[in-house]
Amino acid sequence: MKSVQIGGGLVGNIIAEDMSRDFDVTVVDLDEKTLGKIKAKNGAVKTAVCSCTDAEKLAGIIKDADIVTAGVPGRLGRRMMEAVIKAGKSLCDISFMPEDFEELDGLAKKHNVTVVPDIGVAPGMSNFLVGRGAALLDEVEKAVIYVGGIPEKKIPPFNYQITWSASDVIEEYTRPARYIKDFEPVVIEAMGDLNLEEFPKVGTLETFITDGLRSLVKNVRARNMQERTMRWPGHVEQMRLLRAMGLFDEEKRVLGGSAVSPRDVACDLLFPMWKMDPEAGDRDLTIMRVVVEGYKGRDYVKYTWDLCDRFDEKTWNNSMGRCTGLTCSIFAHAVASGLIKEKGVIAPEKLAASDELYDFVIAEQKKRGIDYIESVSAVKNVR
Amino acid sequence: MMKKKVTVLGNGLVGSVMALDLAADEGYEVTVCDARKDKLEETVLKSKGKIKGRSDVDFASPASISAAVKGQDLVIGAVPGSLGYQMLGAVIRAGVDMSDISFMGEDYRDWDAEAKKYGVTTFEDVGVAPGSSSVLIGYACSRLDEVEDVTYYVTGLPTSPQEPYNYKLVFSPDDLVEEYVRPARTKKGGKIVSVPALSGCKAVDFKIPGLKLPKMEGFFTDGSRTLLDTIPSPNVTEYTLRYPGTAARMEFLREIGLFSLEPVKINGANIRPRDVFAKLAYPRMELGKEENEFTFYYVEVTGKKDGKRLQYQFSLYDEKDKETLYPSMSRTTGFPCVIVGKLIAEGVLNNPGVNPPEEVGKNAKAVEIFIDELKKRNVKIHQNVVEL
Repeated sequence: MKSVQIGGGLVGNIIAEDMSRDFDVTVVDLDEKTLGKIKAKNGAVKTAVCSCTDAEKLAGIIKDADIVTAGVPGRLGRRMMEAVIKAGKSLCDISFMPEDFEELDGLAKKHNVTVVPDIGVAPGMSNFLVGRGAALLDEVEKAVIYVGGIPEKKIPPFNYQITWSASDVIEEYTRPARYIKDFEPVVIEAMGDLNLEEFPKVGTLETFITDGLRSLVKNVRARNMQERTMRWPGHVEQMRLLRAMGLFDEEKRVLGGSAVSPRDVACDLLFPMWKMDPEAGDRDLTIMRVVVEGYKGRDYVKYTWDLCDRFDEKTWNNSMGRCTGLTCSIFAHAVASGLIKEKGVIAPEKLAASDELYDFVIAEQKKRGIDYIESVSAVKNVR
Repeated sequence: MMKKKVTVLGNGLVGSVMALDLAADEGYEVTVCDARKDKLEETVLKSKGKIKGRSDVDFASPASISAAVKGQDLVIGAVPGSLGYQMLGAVIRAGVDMSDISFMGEDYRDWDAEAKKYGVTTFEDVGVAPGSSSVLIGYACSRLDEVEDVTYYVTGLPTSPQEPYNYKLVFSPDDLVEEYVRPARTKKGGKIVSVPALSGCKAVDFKIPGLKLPKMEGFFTDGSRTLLDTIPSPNVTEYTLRYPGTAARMEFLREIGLFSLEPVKINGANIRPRDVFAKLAYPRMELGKEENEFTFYYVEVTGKKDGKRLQYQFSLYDEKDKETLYPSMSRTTGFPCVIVGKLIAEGVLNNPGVNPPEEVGKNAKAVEIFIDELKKRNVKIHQNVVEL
């Protein structure tokens, strides 16, 4: 079978690599250098130079594909998705688009294709597991996603490293976050509701509410629902200080004769210090815990999934990239093999009722060394 | 009685307070020099014409200073630190005694031989700390047979702290950042050691009769200056006090490079990170005209006397003057300088040479008057001797 990966970035690479075990893979990217690197690493992969928004050319490249996978910059995501649907191809996508992808549901149905959007780790597995919990319960009282990509070792002053851009992280520290309280959406300031919690294998982390519920707000009815981001303790106080000082402000100020925005200064100062450098021994961890609890019949049941994944010493792929890319590849396998039959643009949480798919996904993750550990506890006959 | 003629060099925040304090004493005829005419007029007006103002003296020119002070009984020095060293020489060569708070970077003792030659007595660094704290440290050291340790804590803070800095500027903002950057020299076991700025941080909670102080933290700062070699103590440590959490925050800002003076390229422009900090922080650190603040220090001098282990404890506390709105930092810096100046002019202190403030402490009569005069000006001094 054939597959096409659109986007040859860090995670796109991991998707293509994993898909290439079972598929003839073609990677599409606009940058020939990027493609050259992929080719050098994996000779079995074909490459094609094309913009992800050039619908016509893209249609030609994907015309023989059994499945398409994609990871492109968020702002291009929707146009890419539309092009793939119109070419009549099914898609598993990790592009983090700002628009509501469910608007393309009708179009996907019309073209009789399956699109699974937001199918990384969080969003992605987090949605799938919240959906799983919700499918197993009659009423969801509480659903909480804890997720964090953190360095394995705490290196001062930040105890924090990233594998993408500092400006995206700063955005997370400034944009107000939405969560669900008593079935209603509530907005809280960024980095709000800070507390400390224990996580297996890592110990105490601080957690705060972030704006990552996305499609879950619409698709899962829960009394309370939050996404919380995790960091090594102390990080939030540092970021709150910089924010309170105005260092994350985007408004330009005149400094030494030229106008610069404090946020640009912050990015320039912080980014070199945040950059993860595997050559220097830096290793990342992906920590996730999804808790879904509520009523099932007369019982109060709590489902918990724990993930603690580490940088891969064999491939040197960072953990966040693996957890994101491999999830996309696993779901692409499921679509291609007919395990996912539904047509339309289907958020991961909507697929989770199927035991067969759930078992497949968890088993495939495990095969790739990524363990989602499920635990269940119940209080019987509470009502 | 003939009035004593005194010239105050510098009519800044502290200089003006000193000039007005001197003018309140009928025994003194006060001239204050400063190039800024409007500020000068303000001070003259406040004194109801008792003070004479001169805007024609050039502080950058030793000749101009010498000419201006010649024939005076006393000079009070309050010029910017960068001009202090030259000014000191000019006053000595004019043959006039001086009490000085110009906080110069150079070692003022370079001028000692010259002052002795001219028979001139000057006291330097006669502010709050160094200054009155040094007087009391010098005093305690002179009372003990053997000194073991000198530790003191000093601060000027707003009474109602505001996030995120919990601090208001009571002196030059650039000096503030320097405190957080420049390694601090302390004396340990007889050796002078350099420790990182903001290190040694500990929580402190002072219990001093009659004073209600907030919880604070203290960390090492580089303010001991002459105390490192003038007093017979093997251990000398200065702590600066701030509201809790400040040291960790400032250390973090320093570690991420925000206090750096090395330009970084941002969108093609060369920007010094410290300038960015200054632009963001200084406006929010300005002390409001009506905003209350306090100045405080606590000194402990430990040693032996007649076989007993004793500890001399001194504290000073002052708040903004509600009537004159003089900040406590100006009051507690200016009053020691004026008081020591008068002690020189009235012959209580007669120490030809250039003297550090702790030298005052060796003169018991001077110390008694010094403390008494501070109390008269509503600066609260508390002293105690305990046997350990």
